[in-house]
Amino acid sequence: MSYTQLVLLAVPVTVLLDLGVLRTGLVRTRAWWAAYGIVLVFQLLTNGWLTGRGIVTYAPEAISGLRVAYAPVEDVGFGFALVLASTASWVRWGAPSSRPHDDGDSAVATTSARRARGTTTRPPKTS
Amino acid sequence: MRQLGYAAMLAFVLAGTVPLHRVFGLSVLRQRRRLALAVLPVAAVFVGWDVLATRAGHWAFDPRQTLPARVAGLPVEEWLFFLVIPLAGILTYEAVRVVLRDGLVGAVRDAAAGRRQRPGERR
Repeated sequence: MSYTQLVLLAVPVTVLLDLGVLRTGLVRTRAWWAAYGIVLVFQLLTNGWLTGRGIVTYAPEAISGLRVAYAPVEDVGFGFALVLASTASWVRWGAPSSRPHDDGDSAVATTSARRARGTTTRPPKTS
Repeated sequence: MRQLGYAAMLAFVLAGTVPLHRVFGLSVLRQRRRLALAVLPVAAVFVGWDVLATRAGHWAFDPRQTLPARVAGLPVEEWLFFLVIPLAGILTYEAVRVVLRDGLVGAVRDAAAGRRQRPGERR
């Protein structure tokens, strides 16, 4: 599989991880998207350094050829998947009170409240 | 110096995100078990991808701009990447949550007040 195909797989898999597996629902919160926006700006900067200077080089046949700030556009998907998977598992392993429910996001608040009342099959985690 | 090209990028990311911990009074770095549980399994998957992609020739690392040490064909910086970037993402996310909750000024002021109350505590 090419890098392009792997990224097109990794992005929906991590969204599914966030929504369905870990049930952290970060992609439904503005806090996560605001954080991701900041991360993305710095990714373009630092990844531009790695690719612009040729510290990392890509095989033309593995990528689509579309580039953003020197880097293959696929890197944006790679970074998205890495950061979403990491933040979602961070939230998953936190205390229930640390879950995103105070951002005014009703979809997640429902899940959080249900967990707090212990009506979920998974026991509430404390760290 | 040229060999530090990749390492410099990691240092830049840490320099930009670790101070968030103190400025916003976060507790991320104190929750070591949680941090390990969050970062390591994800890193394992992405390192696996990276090792296979490097072997398959999807991408390559310039030996003149990376440190000589290689683990499973990847420069050590690339291994550290999968610890540094997730940590940076988690710190950013937690800082944003505090700012959305307390406002930028409130968050910074509360963290400073917290430091004054617990002067001996390392953050």
